[in-house]
Amino acid sequence: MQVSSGSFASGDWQRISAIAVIYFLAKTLRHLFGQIVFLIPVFIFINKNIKENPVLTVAIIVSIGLLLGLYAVASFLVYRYRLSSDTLEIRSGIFKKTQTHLPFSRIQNIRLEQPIYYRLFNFCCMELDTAGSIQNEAKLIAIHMNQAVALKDIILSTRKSSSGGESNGERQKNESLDETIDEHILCTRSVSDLIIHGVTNNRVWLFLGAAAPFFDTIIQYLGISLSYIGLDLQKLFDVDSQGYAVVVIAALSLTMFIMMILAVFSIAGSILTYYDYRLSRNEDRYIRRSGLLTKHEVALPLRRLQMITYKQDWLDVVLGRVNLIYLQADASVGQATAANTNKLVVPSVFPEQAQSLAEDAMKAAQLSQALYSPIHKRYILNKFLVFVIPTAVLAALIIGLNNDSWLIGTAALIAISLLGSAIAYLRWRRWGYSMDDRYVYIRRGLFGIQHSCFERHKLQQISRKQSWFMRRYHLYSVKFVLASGGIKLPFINREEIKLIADQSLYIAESSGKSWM
Amino acid sequence: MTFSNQLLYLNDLGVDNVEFTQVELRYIRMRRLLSVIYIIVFAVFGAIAAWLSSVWFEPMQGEVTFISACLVSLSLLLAIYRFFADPKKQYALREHDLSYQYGLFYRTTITQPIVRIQHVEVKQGPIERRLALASILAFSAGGQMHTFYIPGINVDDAHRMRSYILNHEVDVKDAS
Repeated sequence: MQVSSGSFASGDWQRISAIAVIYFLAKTLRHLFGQIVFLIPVFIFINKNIKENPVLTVAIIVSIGLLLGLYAVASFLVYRYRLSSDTLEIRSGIFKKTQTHLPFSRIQNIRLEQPIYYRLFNFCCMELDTAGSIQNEAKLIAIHMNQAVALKDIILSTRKSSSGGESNGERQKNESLDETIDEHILCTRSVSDLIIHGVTNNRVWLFLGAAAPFFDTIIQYLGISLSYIGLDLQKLFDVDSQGYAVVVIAALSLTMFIMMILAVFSIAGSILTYYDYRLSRNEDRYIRRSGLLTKHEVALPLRRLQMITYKQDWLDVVLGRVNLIYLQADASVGQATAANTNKLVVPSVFPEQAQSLAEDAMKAAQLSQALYSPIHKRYILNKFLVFVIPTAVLAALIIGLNNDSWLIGTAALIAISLLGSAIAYLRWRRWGYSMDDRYVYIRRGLFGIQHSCFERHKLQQISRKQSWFMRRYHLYSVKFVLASGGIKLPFINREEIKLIADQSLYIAESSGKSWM
Repeated sequence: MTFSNQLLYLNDLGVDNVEFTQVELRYIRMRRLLSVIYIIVFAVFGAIAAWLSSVWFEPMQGEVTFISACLVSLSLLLAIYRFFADPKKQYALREHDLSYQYGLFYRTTITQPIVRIQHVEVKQGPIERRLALASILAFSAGGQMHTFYIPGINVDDAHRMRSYILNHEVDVKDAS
């Protein structure tokens, strides 16, 4: 079904589909569950009253439910939008009214999201970003997929023609979050890849985010199953009755058990977010589609790409997998955004795939193949004097005084110093940098390894820092600031800083190229 | 971009060789006066609190005195740090970028290319207005964490810098 622009660009205030009521309800519920931690003491406090007055409790719960429902319906009723040929306006809010006015030419990014309850009627939620602040974001809460795709094309073509580019040809649209004809798929991920991703990377937080509404049930279930297999934690950890060996073994196995549960959660998180992962390219845009319950579509225009990171945790190194991360310019840099919309992750690919993907986005970028130069050796000495020695002395004093034995104290001092020096040395070995005419490469890590690469002309700012100690040896720590955030490179000498910092500055200032 | 061009640039115009201008002496003096005022305020309030607690609430007297002493010594430390660190604040405006250097133990130099500045603000507090001082803030796409900031400039200089930066933007747009 084709929808022409005329059919919904009528210039009148319109209501969205009634299915949005579910969206508003879900949003309020999610918000409530987010606050549930603060409500727990209240529940404990009134627990007795609940048992004594079951009728009243039911009445209160029903009325709260009714209120929430009414709120959702009211939110839906006041939500209006208006489309003209080149702007979108949205009016929303019951108590705090907001009106957003969004010219198509200023829209930077379009995201489509399809929660599970929208899938039956093929609706979706359309998020529109501008380059401005986070308050300038607009959300068309319920719009039919066909309309969304058509509107997206109109917005994109308006932007293109206003910037003097070629006009958009007629495109064929599918009726869901699927690729259009002129896209080609760069990368897909199977469930087994996602399981590896879940194991090697801690994706528990993804799961926690998605599963927040079911916490209570999960915890209850865990408690029941623990007592079902006959685990009594209090008894198990009683040193007097069990002896040290048993307690240590119990602690180890409990740790293993918790690690296993975390790994399972992590895999679940990975699958929830990245199920049916497809990364495709449409002219100069990358599009990521994935999700088990809620389908997400995230687009990344290549000109907004700031940095590519090739990231391996230690388990990734063992298994030979790589996470490729594209960072794009984001208005909300510095603010904690839960959605992390400025990041586009390709989970657990093979190194060769990662290399070819990186090259597709940044032409002739070397990344993992570049020849990295080490940073200055004084890095190790500095870390040793500034961090390791004070920590070791403090810890040794505490341990020594607690045990009332200078022998244990000295042993702790030596052990912590050795461990700290080993970490400082490993960190130093990972640090490295490289550059060519177009790119700067930075390598870092401890057990894992991370290669980052950015285009020199996209620099926003450079800062260099010297401690009193570093000044004597003409060493600098440099921080490169890009529109996606900053990246540091410590302990570079004066000759090197001319090449990497001063010259990058020169490229940014003289190239005349835009950063996006 | 030829190689010789780069070398010329690097030798003559590397950030190390830039001549920096110190922030206004009025600004340093203003901050010193403010530091003294902070110490006096904390000392007076601390003394009052210690006296009140000795009269009304004996058991807490030790804690109240301790906290007051901490606040006074912290403000004293801050004043000593500022006394030596403020004169180290200096800035430079070159054809294509702004630099700002600060810090006593850790010296930081931030360089902001003018082409990347999105908008500029000249800011004045009430005391600064009296002394004809101003701060200049330059916002880039690097985000709020990386707002470029120079305090303690003459208000006329600040406005001149602002219009220079704004005109620079127009020049680049015309050239491209």
